[in-house]
Amino acid sequence: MFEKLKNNYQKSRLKNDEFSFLFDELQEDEFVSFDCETTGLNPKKDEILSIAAVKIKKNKIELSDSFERFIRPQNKICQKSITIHHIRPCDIDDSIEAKIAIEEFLHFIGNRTLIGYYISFDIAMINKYTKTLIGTTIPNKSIELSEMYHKRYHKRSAHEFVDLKFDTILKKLNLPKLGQHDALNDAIMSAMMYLKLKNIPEYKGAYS
Amino acid sequence: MSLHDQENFIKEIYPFDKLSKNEIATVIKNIDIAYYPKENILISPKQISNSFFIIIKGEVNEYNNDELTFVYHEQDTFDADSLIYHKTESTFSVAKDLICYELKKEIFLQLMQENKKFGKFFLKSLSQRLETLKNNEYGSDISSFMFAKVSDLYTHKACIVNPLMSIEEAVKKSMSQNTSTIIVKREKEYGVVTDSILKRELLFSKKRLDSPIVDIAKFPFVCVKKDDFLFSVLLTIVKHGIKRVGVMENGEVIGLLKQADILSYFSNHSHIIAMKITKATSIEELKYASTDMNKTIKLLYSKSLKTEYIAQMVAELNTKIYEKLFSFILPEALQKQCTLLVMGSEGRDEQIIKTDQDNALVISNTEKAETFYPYMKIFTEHLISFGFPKCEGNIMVSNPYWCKTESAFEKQIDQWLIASDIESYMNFAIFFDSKSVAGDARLFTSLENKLFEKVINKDVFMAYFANATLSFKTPIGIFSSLEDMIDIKKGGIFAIVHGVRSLSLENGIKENRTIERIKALAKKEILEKELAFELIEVYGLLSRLRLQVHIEKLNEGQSINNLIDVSKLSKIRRDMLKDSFVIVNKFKKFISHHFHLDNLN
Repeated sequence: MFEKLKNNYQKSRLKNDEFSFLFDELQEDEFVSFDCETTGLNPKKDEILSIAAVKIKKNKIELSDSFERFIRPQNKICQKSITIHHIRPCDIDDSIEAKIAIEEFLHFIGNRTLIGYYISFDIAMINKYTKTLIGTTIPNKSIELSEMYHKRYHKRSAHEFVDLKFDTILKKLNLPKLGQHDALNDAIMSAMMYLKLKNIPEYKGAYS
Repeated sequence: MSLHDQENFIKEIYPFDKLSKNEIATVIKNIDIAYYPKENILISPKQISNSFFIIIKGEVNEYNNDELTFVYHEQDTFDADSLIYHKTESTFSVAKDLICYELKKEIFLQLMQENKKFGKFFLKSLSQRLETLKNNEYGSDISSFMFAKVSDLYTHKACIVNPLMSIEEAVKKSMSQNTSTIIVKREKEYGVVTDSILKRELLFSKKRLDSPIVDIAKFPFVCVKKDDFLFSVLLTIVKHGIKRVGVMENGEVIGLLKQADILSYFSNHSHIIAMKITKATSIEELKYASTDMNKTIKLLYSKSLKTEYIAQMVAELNTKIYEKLFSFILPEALQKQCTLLVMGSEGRDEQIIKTDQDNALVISNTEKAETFYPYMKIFTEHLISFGFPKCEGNIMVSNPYWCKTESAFEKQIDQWLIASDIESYMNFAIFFDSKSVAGDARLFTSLENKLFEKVINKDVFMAYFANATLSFKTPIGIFSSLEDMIDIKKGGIFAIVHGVRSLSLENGIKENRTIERIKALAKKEILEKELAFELIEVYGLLSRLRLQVHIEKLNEGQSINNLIDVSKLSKIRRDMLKDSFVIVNKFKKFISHHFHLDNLN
């Protein structure tokens, strides 16, 4: 009930009709796994440097139709984020305006459910741009991978700490690591995690 | 960045490495990643897939009529055939959770058309593909030829004298060391006195014999380093117009290399050991030559010489050793009254690194076997001291069981034929593989003819005999857990050797080498040409892998066995091994059908 209310509110705020498809009825069997590289961890201050996404249909990750854009930052790239993302100023030569990238991204995801690792942060980053661009935050449903993993993890005691690091989950699920972390690799690896987790039943044991 | 990592993964997979940059880009644009849980069926006769699969992680089993025929792993691809021919008899099922790339069928077929090298690989038969892989792995013979080093060669001892020694003393010293080259060491440099210098100085310049040798030495003596490439040494020799160079290690001359040595190395390098054997005048010298053998084998191996040829070379050298030892030990009068047989793998010329000795003595009916016992006891002792390992089963001339008159052997063969225990079958098999290496070979020829006559119409015996071909399971499934060790002899070589041996025995084929036997069987149309060709390829490949394992064990000082650590093999070798086992299984089926083994088991 609340969701519908929220959805309607968001839709009413939409100032650009071009994006009304975001509110269309949900396509249940299609998902988008996505990841952003940013200049920092504060959605208020920091900017997106790159966005990558892949569509998931049934058991397939559509690499042939993948999405990857580099965004020209408003502020100078700081040294720290260069060392994290290996995106140097020269790498964003073929980068584009944030406005174009975000619009293209919205077209790519449509109304599909979004999948990601600590996805609320990435969505918050996207929303920061859409608020000014289309007047509202994005209404898409989302699936949090760390939570999905946690629900399937067999705890041996009530106090067991579950390691939710990206690389740990990857390893525990016996998934391959694809080179270094960049937005596209992370989006693909997240998609693999999703496909694998989907096939594992949730754990209903004593310490779930 | 972008799809770089995907590109790198795919580019490493043979034959995708043959694709151009643009073609790889096409692949990337038309590829998806898919996930399949265990037990999913990817391809089956009823349902041909529209994709070409490249495994990123996981495992897939291929079944043909419920029989496991192949296991695919990371970086493996499938299934070109069903895409090309639109049909398949195989079922591909996921054995361990699979993550894979799926390349669209149209794109895969388009690439096959556009890129000949890429396309050819998938169109080839299994054995042709094996050959392609092999060439890719081992390269051509010529390149490895160029990488031989000075240390790979036999160097002559150097006679080094101090500069103040008299000419007379120096010449005496060199003669006692059996060399005509005198090397003079003056502080840190070396000079040389050769025969021609001696002639010139003593005969024409009338130099006195008591003057110091340094007066007539030529400085500097051109030297090379122990780890220099041989072909650069050859260049040095040509450049300076000299006939010999010194070999240096840590600034000291440790030996000499002659022009003839290098030239003959590039033509035939085993002549040195052959020469040593022929020249040997005592058992001691023979032993010395014999213990050099492994070095020669390693050398030939490192030069990528075909394993078949290495085996022949070793067999010839060993024959020379047997002959010589035979002549040293046995009184001349007795030598013509018997023949020495090497049996089993040695009889087939297929033992390279010595793992076992199987030998026998066939004695003329006019002599008493007992006369030969004491000599044969000594013979075996010497062979063991030469590095021919003792036979655990005591199949050696020192054992009276294997030292018999011709008629006693004939009775023995009859006994083997009626006894129905494994030991008799194996004795029969080993004896069938015999080769006469010394004495009067005719003694064996007549026995061999009788052997063939005796098995005619003995279908039941032949079936039990051939049944040993199926003794060991072919390790097709073993690749599923990569830490596992594969016994390459039990897993493949034995089945080929014994199956081929059984067919040869049945069909009166007198060749002793497995490969020659296969060719003869194909000629007689007992084996189909294609299977014969495949068997020869596979046998060559497995023999090479076995030799590689043996040499590695030898280098590490471990005892010799046939265990291969699959996880340590390169992807290409693993592929070759997997393909090989498919053919081994095909051959086993043929043998089973041919000898009606289903009736036994």
